[in-house]
Amino acid sequence: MIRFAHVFKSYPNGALALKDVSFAINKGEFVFLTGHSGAGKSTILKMLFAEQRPSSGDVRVASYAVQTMRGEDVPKLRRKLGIVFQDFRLLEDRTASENVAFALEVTGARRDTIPARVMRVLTQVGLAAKARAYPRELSGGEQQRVAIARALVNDPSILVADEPTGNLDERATRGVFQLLREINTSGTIVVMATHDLDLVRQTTYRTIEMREGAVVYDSAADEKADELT
Amino acid sequence: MNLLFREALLSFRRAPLLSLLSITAIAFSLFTVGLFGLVALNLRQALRGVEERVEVVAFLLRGTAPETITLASQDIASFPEVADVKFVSEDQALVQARRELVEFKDAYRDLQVNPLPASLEIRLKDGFRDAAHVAGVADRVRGFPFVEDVRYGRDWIARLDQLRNMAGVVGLIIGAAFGLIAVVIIGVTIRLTIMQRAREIAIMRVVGATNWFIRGPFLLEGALKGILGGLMALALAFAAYTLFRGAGPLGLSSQLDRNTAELILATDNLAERNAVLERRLIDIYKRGQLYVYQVLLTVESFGELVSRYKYLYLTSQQDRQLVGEVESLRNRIAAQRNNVLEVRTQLDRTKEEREAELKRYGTLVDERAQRMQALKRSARNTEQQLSTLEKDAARLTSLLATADKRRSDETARAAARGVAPAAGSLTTADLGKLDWPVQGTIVYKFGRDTLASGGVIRWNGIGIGAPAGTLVKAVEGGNVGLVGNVGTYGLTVAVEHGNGYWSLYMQLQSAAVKQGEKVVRGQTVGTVGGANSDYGPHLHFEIRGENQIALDPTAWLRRR
Ligand SMILES: Nc1ncnc2c1ncn2[C@@H]1O[C@H](COP(=O)(O)OP(=O)(O)OP(=O)(O)O)[C@@H](O)[C@H]1O
Ligand SMILES: [Mg+2]
Repeated sequence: MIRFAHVFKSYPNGALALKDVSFAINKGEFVFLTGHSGAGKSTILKMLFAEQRPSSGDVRVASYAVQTMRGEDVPKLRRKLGIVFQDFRLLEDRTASENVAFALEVTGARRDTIPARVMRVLTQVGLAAKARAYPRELSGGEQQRVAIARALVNDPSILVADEPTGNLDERATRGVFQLLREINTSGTIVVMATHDLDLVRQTTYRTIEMREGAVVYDSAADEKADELT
Repeated sequence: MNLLFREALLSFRRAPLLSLLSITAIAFSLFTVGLFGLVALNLRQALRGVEERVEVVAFLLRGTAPETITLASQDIASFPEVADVKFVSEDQALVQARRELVEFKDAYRDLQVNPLPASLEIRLKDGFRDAAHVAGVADRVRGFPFVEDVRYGRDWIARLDQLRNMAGVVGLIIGAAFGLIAVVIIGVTIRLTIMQRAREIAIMRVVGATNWFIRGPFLLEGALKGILGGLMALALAFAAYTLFRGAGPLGLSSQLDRNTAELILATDNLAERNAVLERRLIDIYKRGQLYVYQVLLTVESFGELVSRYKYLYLTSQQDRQLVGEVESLRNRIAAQRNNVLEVRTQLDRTKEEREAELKRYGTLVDERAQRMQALKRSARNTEQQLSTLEKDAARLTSLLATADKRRSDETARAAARGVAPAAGSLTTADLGKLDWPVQGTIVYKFGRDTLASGGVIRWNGIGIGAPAGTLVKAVEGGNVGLVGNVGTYGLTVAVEHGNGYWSLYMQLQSAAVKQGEKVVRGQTVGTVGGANSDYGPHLHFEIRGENQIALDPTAWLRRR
């Protein structure tokens, strides 16, 4: 589903964000992306939804070659993804359900199906009761769940989450993480960048660790090594 | 699509003030563009209409022979520039003036004699309608000896041409500038919205919205603002149109109305008024062609702004002249009659009051005419009166002559029989010594006198005023030669004193003696009458000498 092969990324200002990054993520995987600040986690995630393109190397996401794809194909790629950010990125002047519906409207979904689909995902994230609340009336955890619901509403095959729990307390973090695990259970790839090592240690999910733009650890490779040894 | 509209409208809802401001700015820019465009367009259209009607009008001297006119028309028609020549007779001119110069309709109707000149209206061919050719034709036409005056609209056509070009260029430049401004305003407001909605756009991108989907609402928003601005501009243009349409011709007619009213009101003297008015009307008629164009432009055009300029230019000359004329007229008349002052102060009154004023003036004129007529009638009466007086005097004289004749015949017969003629009782020795036949004042003297009715008469005697019924005494003894009515002199007693001398007592109420009777000095001959005469009761007293010559009785009567 996702494959990075010898990916280099240098930003126009000369910063070398990625150095020869290679990995592959298969259907149904839950992957943690860890590393110090500035290690290149967000850069990798941005390549997944084609906001950044590799300077060299090959990035493939859901059959799209990110380095060569046409601009008009970018929205098509993104409709197959769900994206969640640390700062939620909700529209302040719309209710929870409107924020979720917005993602459907934008993709040209049939109008009569929208309310039902919105309610379904809001129920899924446990916010059906707050469908008519505005972001400012919601807690951080609830806002992030609205953002996740918005990411899910298009039934994505990949969920990209860039430090989704970064702004949340422990309880909220656990709630959101639990939600992501459930989503993964239903077959969706989840790629999640995080600093929260406790969270990482709680599970046995695959972990890719970055340092200064390079992959320094990949638990999948360990497993392979384990298998080999 | 639905969503697109919703998203576009959302931006209006979110930033109503910004939207309103930008729409207003767009509206005014477009309005300015439209205004100049329309003005230029209208000017061109109006000018085209005028150009088609451009005529050189040659006014002809009164009494020009029809054959001469026909020949000249053919001559002029053969000019290369001329399309056709139309003869307008004096009568047609009046009809035309009444029809076309609406403001002066009444004035033209009131004319007793048609003062308007006949004319030749010369229309030029296409391509010769510019100022230079028009002037050329006018000059040549002026060369005909029977042409009194040539008029054409060169000045203001040239001016209009200029104005049109200027309006075109200025309109283009300003239009382009404002068009640019409109575009910039739309761009800026959209840019502002984009910045305002950067977050939203980022989110749209993240959830997979296409570029078109993102841009659509903005384009639509821009378009909506443009359309709304345009509609507003249209509304503004319409408002301006109705505003100026109402204002334009109004000023024109009221001003001319006032001038006309002044003209008519200020002239008190009828003859003078007619003369001035006639001259003015001829003038106005001659100017008629231009005038009609002007009305044409005001009525048909949409660019009222410019037609006002044009109107101002056109009428300035006309009005200056008119005002000057009225001014001098006023001064002249003010010197003659002070009541013009009063009339002039009433000029500012309402129309009704002015009409009433005019009516009053009319009755004044009527009254004067009536008085004149009455005067004429009374003059006729006087003449009649005079002639009867004279006839009666003549009749009296002839009566006396007959009596004298008879007397002299008798004397002659007596002489033949040897009887010496009796000496007369009244001689020149009596001058200044006779007693008055009646005591009273002299109401009219002997000789030339003016009657109350204005006629001049020669009295053969004097009138002595005295109460009716007062006794009238004979001034000297003699024979009563006559007792009877002598026309307007009434009852008359004539006493013969011999040698052709008579004393006559007239306007008597009654006679106390009979014809043929002898009377002595101081005897009553009758009573005073004449109460119905112009002088009241009085005695008409005469003394006649030889050959019935009337003598001044005051010379004979005792001095008082
Ligand atoms: N748009 C950009 N232009 C230039 N340099 C960038 C840009 N985005 C990231 N970088 C640089 O690339 C490097 C990797 O950044 P990245 O955002 O991937 O780090 P990160 O691992 O996500 O860090 P954090 O945990 O703080 O989010 C950094 O050195 C950063 O300065
Ligand atoms: Mg990051």
